[in-house]
Amino acid sequence: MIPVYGRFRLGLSKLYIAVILVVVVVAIIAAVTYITTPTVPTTTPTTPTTPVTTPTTPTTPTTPTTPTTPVTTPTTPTTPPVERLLRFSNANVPNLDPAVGSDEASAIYFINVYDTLLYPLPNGTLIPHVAERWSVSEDGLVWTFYIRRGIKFHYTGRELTARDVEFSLRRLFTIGRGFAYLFTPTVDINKTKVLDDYTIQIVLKKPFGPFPYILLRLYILDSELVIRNIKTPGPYGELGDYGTEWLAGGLADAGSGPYTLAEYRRGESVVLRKYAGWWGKYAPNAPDRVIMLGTTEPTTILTLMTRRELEITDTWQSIENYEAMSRINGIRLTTLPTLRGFYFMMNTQKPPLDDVHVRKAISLAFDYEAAIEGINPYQKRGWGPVPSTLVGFCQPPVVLERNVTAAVEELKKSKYWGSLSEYPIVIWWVAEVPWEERAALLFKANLEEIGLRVDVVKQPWLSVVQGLSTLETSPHVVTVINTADYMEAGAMLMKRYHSSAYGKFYQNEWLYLPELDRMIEDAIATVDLNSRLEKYCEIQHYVFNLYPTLYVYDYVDLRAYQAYYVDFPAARGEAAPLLGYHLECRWIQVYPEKRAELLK
Amino acid sequence: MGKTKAFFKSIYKNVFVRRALRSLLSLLGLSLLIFILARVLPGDPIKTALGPDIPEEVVERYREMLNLNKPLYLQYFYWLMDVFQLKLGRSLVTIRDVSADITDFFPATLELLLASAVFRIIVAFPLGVLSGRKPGATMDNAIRVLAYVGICIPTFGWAIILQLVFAYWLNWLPAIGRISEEFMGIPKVTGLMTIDSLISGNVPAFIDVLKHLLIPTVALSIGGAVQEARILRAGMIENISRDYVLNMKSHGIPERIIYFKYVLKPSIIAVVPTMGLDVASTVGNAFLVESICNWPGMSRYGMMAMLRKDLNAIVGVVLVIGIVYIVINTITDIILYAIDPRIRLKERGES
Repeated sequence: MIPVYGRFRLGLSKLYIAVILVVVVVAIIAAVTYITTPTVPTTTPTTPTTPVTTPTTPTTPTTPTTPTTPVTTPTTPTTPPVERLLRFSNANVPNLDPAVGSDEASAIYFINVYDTLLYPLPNGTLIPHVAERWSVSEDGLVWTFYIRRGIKFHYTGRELTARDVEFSLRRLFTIGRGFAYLFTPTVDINKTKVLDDYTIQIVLKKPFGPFPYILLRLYILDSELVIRNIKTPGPYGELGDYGTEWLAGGLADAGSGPYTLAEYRRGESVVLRKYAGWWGKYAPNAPDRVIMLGTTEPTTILTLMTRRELEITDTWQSIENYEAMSRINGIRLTTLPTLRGFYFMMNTQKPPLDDVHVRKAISLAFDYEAAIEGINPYQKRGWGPVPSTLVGFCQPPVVLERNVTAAVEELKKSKYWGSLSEYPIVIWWVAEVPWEERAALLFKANLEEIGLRVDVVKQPWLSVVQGLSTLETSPHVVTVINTADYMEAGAMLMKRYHSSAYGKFYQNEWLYLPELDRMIEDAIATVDLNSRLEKYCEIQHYVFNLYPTLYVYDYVDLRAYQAYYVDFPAARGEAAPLLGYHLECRWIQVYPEKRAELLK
Repeated sequence: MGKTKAFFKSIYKNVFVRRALRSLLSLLGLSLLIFILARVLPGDPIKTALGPDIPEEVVERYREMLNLNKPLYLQYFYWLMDVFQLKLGRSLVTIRDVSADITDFFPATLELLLASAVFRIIVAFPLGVLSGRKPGATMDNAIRVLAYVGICIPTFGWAIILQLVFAYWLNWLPAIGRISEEFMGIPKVTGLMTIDSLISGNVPAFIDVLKHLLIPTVALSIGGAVQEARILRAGMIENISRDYVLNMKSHGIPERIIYFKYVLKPSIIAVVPTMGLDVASTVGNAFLVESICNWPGMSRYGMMAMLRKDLNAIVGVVLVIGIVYIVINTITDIILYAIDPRIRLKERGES
């Protein structure tokens, strides 16, 4: 027995000795490196900022003037200034390349890091930005922009010129991703030219009145810096990868905007730092550093907000979570207008919806108030074919209210009266948006009150996209949240009702009306703003009277924010409703001393 | 010629070489399977990844870039050629080579995996031994209840519970990320924050990293750890009743030595493979925990790749998961080889 026992003990002892040795070696290495390191690295030094002052109303964005430098006087000679840090969450970490990303997080990043030719005011008016003025030829084809002098890029310090604008446009065209879809049908890139360092002429393929609006998505890159970082070979011939890999790498940005990329934590967050050399204006207490987090997990967001480690939430929380956060001291819930609408799209080619009386009856039977109060209490009522936030929105000829008697009367006028039970209406709701089920069930309940049969079907998003690709596979009704691509009514009208959108997920109406196509095309080709707005109004009334859609919500985004120590202009309606502009950080103000009060 | 043949034969006889060759073959099969699966799923991958507004000419360019307009076997061949150059093809979403993405994301997952392995060892072994020494005792019953709770709650449930308790209510642990803001500057050497913070000699950063690791590690491992404790318990109970234990007891060998040296060792044999597989599964199954803790790991990247049908990224991630399984299985086999004489004898007999 004893020898066996001894052998076994020897085996285990070896293992023990090995483990102890490894631990000792690691400990020695750690100890030695700790002792030999002179100081423990601490927070990255930040630029001193404006002394803490009482909260002030943010300045309304105006025409930027001469280049300004942030004030750098510390509060007292001995006390280091407290950093103004702003953290907000989004569904994902942004894509860093303006020719690739087009989601919300990316749009926020671009708006803060890159400059654009023009700038939108909250009411939709465009004002000069990088372009100090612009003109358009009489035929509406040639747009000339005059570039402001003295704008410097973050990393090279080089002056922004018309060549950079042309390069950015051409790059967007070539790569074809991100917001390129706004430019490719409109701009004739081959005729676009640089007249001199400060003048660029952009030529269009056809007249396009809202053209200045799409320029809000043309982010200007430092052409020399990007060219220096091109990797060859790549998918763009001589241009290699056109700098896509370098920009996606997150080592630097190529912008000239109010904030600059400080750090890219892939899959986790993006850190921005205030750019001291920016030419425009900041609010007095604008954040020195911004962290864009890529998470929307409810408990995480709730925890971070409670610990004051997040200043503004994303828009993807449940109502319950938003309300839970709003009950915490100093946190407020806000609704932010968007360019989106929530609609029930009716297929006008499928019986019984091919009869306008049936569609009108449905519009009269639907309970719009219940759709808000019972399903999404923070949403705003939708009024017509375009959201009321768009320039060119026009009040509908009548305000639709639920009226069951009128709906039945309308139904009696239809050719299907008496045989409606033979035509069940199939409604699809998008499986990934759970509350849409309740909206679809409300639709079913309302319609059954007037004698229509409704089948509610849950469909995954990809199946919806697939189904809407042809008339044959499209159902009677589909719920959808649609976004206008730019801030004018024409964007939504084109997307929703023009025949070029047939087969896309954002329309199910299949109107097949050449006259309507002509009206929309004519309106967006009109350069004169007033005439264009009149035409938009006429189209909206025209579409409205066809009753092809239930306009349920003018969609608003919900965000909770630390109202006690953050001044968030968008919460007061002082930000353009265009995707990303709610979080234009230079207008947001942060008061760290008030945050400290809450943490006591 | 005969000598060369004999040389290769002798190499092949080595158990580890045989295992490596088999692993390589498994990887090849896995890559082929996932490559085909990713490509035959319905829906246009380019439009799914890039959105419906993407112009047709751009779609065509990407189709060409990814060789999607070529027959499937040629696509696989081109991809395989890339793999031999340590490239995994371009991601449609990040516009980088998938290998670069994985290089960025993998260390975070590896750190979680290693922490998970350590946690399991620390928790499973004492619990299993405590439970197995006196079956039916109060301690055993308490551990049994704990085990059921641990197994029943899914990993993401644990992540939420732990985050709520330790980050939200008690405010003891950080809620998200791998390291606090004030230590962000530590130089990246291995990508493992624990190691990097030690290399830079920053002990406070090291402690901070450990704190960040706690919630995701415990969430990922607790279910598995208690399960492994149960297996160990069962093994202990089985071995305690064996004749050799009775024999040792009758010879007056102290109980402590009997339990820890002669009962524990054979009982571990059943635990090791389970633990190995559980730890390996962390790489693929951690996406919910990574999301909750905003942990920039490969699992979350893989999940996003699946949702966006990012073909090369899907194949790349699955391949890496496969490699992790193979590596951990090999380690498990080595451990078993070391502690189980029956395996050693069998392998020797085979060769």
